[in-house]
Parts: sequence; structure tokens; C-alpha cells
Amino acid sequence: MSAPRGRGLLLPAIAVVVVLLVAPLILVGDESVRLFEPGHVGSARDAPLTLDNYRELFRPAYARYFADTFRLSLIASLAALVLAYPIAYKVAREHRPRVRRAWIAFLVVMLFLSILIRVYAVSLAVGPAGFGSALAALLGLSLNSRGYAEISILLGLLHCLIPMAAIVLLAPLQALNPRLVEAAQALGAPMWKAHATITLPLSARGLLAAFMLCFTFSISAFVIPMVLGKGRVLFVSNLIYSRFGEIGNYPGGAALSITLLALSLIVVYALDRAAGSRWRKP
Amino acid sequence: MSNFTRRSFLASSAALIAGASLPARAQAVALTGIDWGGPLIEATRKITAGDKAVDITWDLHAGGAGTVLPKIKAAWPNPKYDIVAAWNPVYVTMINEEWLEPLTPDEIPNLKDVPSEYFFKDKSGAIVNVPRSLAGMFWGYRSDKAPVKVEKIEQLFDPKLKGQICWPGPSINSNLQLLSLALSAGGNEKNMEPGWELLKKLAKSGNIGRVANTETDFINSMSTGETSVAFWNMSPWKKVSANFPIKVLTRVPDEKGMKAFMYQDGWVVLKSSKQKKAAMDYLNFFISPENNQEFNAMLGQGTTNRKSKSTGFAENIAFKPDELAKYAYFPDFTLLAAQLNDTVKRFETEIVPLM
Repeated sequence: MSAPRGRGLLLPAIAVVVVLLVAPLILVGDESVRLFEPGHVGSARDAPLTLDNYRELFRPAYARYFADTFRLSLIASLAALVLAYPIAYKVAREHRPRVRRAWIAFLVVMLFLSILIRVYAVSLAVGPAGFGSALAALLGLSLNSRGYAEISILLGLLHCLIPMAAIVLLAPLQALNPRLVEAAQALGAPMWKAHATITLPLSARGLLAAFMLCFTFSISAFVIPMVLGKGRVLFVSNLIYSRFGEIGNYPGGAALSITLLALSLIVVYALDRAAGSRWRKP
Repeated sequence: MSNFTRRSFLASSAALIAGASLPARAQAVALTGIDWGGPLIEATRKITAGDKAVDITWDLHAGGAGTVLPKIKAAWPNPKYDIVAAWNPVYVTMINEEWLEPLTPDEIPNLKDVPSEYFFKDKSGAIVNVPRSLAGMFWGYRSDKAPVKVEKIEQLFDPKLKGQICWPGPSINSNLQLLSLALSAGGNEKNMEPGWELLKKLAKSGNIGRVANTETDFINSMSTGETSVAFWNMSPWKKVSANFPIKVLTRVPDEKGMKAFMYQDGWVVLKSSKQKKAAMDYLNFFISPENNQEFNAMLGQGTTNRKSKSTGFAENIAFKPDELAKYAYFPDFTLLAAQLNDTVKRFETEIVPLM
């Protein structure tokens, strides 16, 4: 009796998922194989089926947009882990409850900060009105170069990702028994080695979870590349917006969306499989 | 007398004020409209404050006015908007979609004072727009920042301008910026290839420092000095000129590409509106001679009502009859709108990779 009742409780959630996630996705999939007639908004009701919207994505320029999106997302996610890990470790090991609460509150508040505020704050800071000229000179780049636009995007992404990653890492690091590291050090292991051989491997699943979260956030980022990329570095999400929001080419936007979704799922699945197979070993 | 306290006085005053304002408020018809942000919505709100017959909730275009099209399409036949601020290429798409309510001078008497050339008509020949501003898009530069005094299109390729050009995104301004290059190289709306060739050269030169997708992008970029040369429309140029010296390139002799590209923006009423009468009355109020003049004076744009006068920044496009042929260009927006999809894709595939 309990099993069917349990399944019944799932029904509302399943209904919501089907209505809000699956059904729109099916509609997007259908739109992506419809012929678009320029000058109109979206495809006509009886538009013929076509694969042209996907075919044009095989042009080298689009491969570059996908590559840029995944490359910058990968760099930002890895950098976020490197920077968030010590913060999370410090908070997890903080003995003073007040200080720990203050740190957690700070990280949570950072999560609530509007993305627009973050983006324009970074834009001002790394632009000519902020320290942009000095930073560009330090990096040997022009303020208006493509390279500097990429760095601006990375900084914008990191602004969002670091608190996110730190909060995700907090739980696995708190669950770690600190005595393991202390024991290793007591037995003569230097601190770096104790962390490299104990803390890092034992928090690897948390790292993977944080990475997945950061990576999926980054590849779907829209405002950050739109403002900080100066129109010279574009993510696929910007192309999708342009298709849907500016030129009314729903089929083209839908094909880009489905392709991005498929590639993202492949990457996440591959990472999960690689990590899973490693951890399943005895 | 002893019962009369300061608190009771305030309370009774507040009740009196609230009571007095209730009848007017109750009569106001609720409308929903959408306009551009920045200086435009500020000016629209100021004019609208004078019309107590309507209570309008405003949305803002997210970038170009074309961004409203998918919103209407998705919600049709029940979009939330009664009135929409749009301009030439957006009118074309809306007419194609058959969304626009026909308008007549009987319903909007002030339309009689608007020159007929400003009207857009649907397939049945009915007027569908209420023109509110005559404006132009043109090249200009910050004279205190630009390293070159730009007077020719070919000067845009000067190495001294590295990273100094703010180029509008391909879906912005109906891509008149590309048309300006095309005209300079002997092309036109039907033959944009010469423009594309020049744009590739410009992208390769490294002189494009920012591709701006909104007015805010343009204003920020020019104001912070990130870029100093740009092609944009009037009200943002006016905004920048309020703080920095601007050289507007609307009267450049012997340069086919540096023209004032003329357009008009205005209002449309959607067929789906449940408050068409109130919407039309409001638009009639909006383009009255006084309001049309005040609205455009705030924006530095030209008036559309014959009884209004254009002043201030609008002088940049106030051409005398003998200047019109030399300096003004009236683009074929129908042709440009039809090319928009391909234009955006070509920009993504052929231009961005070169920058």
C-alpha cells in the first residue's frame, strides 16, 4: 500500500516537470526543424520540415562560438574551484561560530546579488573608468582587444562562480574528519602533501559537483558575455537570444538551443562517467 | 477645539486629498505600453503625466524595438500591450503579421497635421502608425577623444583609430551602419556587398573596439572614453553631447556614406487591445502640437506635427530643401527588414571572427 501511495505523491512534481520542462523542450525541438521565412516572427503554422537550421551550424564560425563558450566556461569553472576551495576549507575549519556564520552569510549574500549589478560592477572596474587601463597594460593587451574582452568575461563569471562553488564545497569539507590530516602531519607528512593525499581525494566528489554547477552556469551565461564581451566575444546563448529576441528567427534559435543542450549533456555525462568509473574501483 | 490635534489634522487632510483624487483616478483607463528606455521613456513619462484620462503601465524594449516582436507573437492574440513604440523596420514586420489596428484622422484628429509621407499603411491601405519623431542616424565622434578628425568613411580605417569605433550590432538600427559603408563604396540597399567588403576590412583593422547592442552600451562606451567614434541615432547622441564635445557628421560634403539616415518613430495600436478608444485618445493627446514639440525638444529629435517646431539638437537634421538631397538619406526599410535575418548571420559568421 505504501509504495503506490508514495508514487501518488510524486505525481504533482512529475506533472510540473512535464508541463514546464518537457513540453516546452518538445516545442523547441519541433520549431528547430521548421522552415523560417525572413520578415516574419517564428515559423508559420504549416511551415515545412527542414534540417537547414542544423546544417548551417556546421559552418566553421559556429564551431568557434561553441568552442569559445566551452573553453571560457571550462577555464572559469576550474579557476573558480581553485579560488573557492581554500575559502570553503577556511570556513569549514573555522572554530569561532560567529566568524563562520559571518563567512557563510557573506557567501550567501553574494549569491543573492543581482547578476546585472555584478556585471556592471565588473564592467566599470575593468573598463577605462576603473583600473582597466592599468590591468590591460599589465597583461600586455589593448583595452579594446579581444583578449581583454575574454579576460573581462572570465572575471565576470568568477564573480558569480566563486561564492557558488564555495558553498557547494562547504558540506563535503565539513564532513571531512580533520584528524586525518593531523595524523598524517603527526607522522611526518608536510602540510601540502597531507592535503594533496587526504583532503583533496576525500572531497573529490564535492569538487566534481561544484565543477558541474559552475560549468553548466557558465555555458548558459547570457548577460555576462553580452556586456563584458563587448560584442566581440559571444557565447552561444547570445546567438540564441539574437535569433529569438531580435530577428524573430525561432527555428534558428531553437536549433542552436537544442545543439547547445545536447553538447552540454554529452560533456556532463562524459565527466560523470569518467569520475564514476574511477570511484567505483575498489 | 481641544480635540483638534496635529495628528487629526494630518489624517483629515490626507482623507480629503485621497477623496479628491479618487474620482479622477477612477476615470483613468488602464493601458499597457512599451517604449525604449533611457531618454525616450523619460520624455514619454513626462508627456503622459499631462493626460489624466489614462493610467499607463510601461515596459521597456530590451535593446532594439524588434525584441518586442517575439513577445507579441508568443502571446498573440492576447499580448498585454495596447500601444507599442516602434519605428520603420518594426512597422514592416508588424504589418506583415497583421497585428496593427487601422487608424483614421476621425479617431485621432491630430493625424491631420502629420505629413502623409510619415505614415505606414497596411495591405488595405489604412494608416497604422502615429508618427511622433523625425530622427536620423549618423556618424559622429567625441572631438576631445578621437585621435582623428573623421570626415570620410575611408578615415575609419586609419590605424590611429585602433579600438576607437563603437559599431552597432547587426540587428540594431536596421543595420543602417552597413548601408552607410555600402553607399560610400557605390552600393545601396539592393547591393550591400560593397558594404560587407568594407566592414570586413574594418573588422580586420582592429578599429572596432565595441559592438554595441543597446543605447546604454553606446552611451557608456562613448562616455567612459572606451570608444570615440560611432554611428547611432539622435537621442543617445544628444545624451552624450550633454557632457562631452561631439562632432555630428550630418553635413559632410562629397561623402556618399556619411549621410543623415532619416527615419521616424511613433506609436501603433495593436488589434488585440481591449481599450482601443482610450489608446487612440491618448495618442491624439501625445501628438498634439504642444506635446509633440515638448517631447522632441527633450530628445533633440524633429517634430512630426506640422504645427510644432524642431529646436536644439534637432537642428542637426533640420535640412533646408537644397540640403536634403545632399545630406539626408531616406532608406528603403522594407528591403533592409527583409535582409535582417541574413545580415545577422553574415555578421556572426563573417565579421565577428575577424575582430
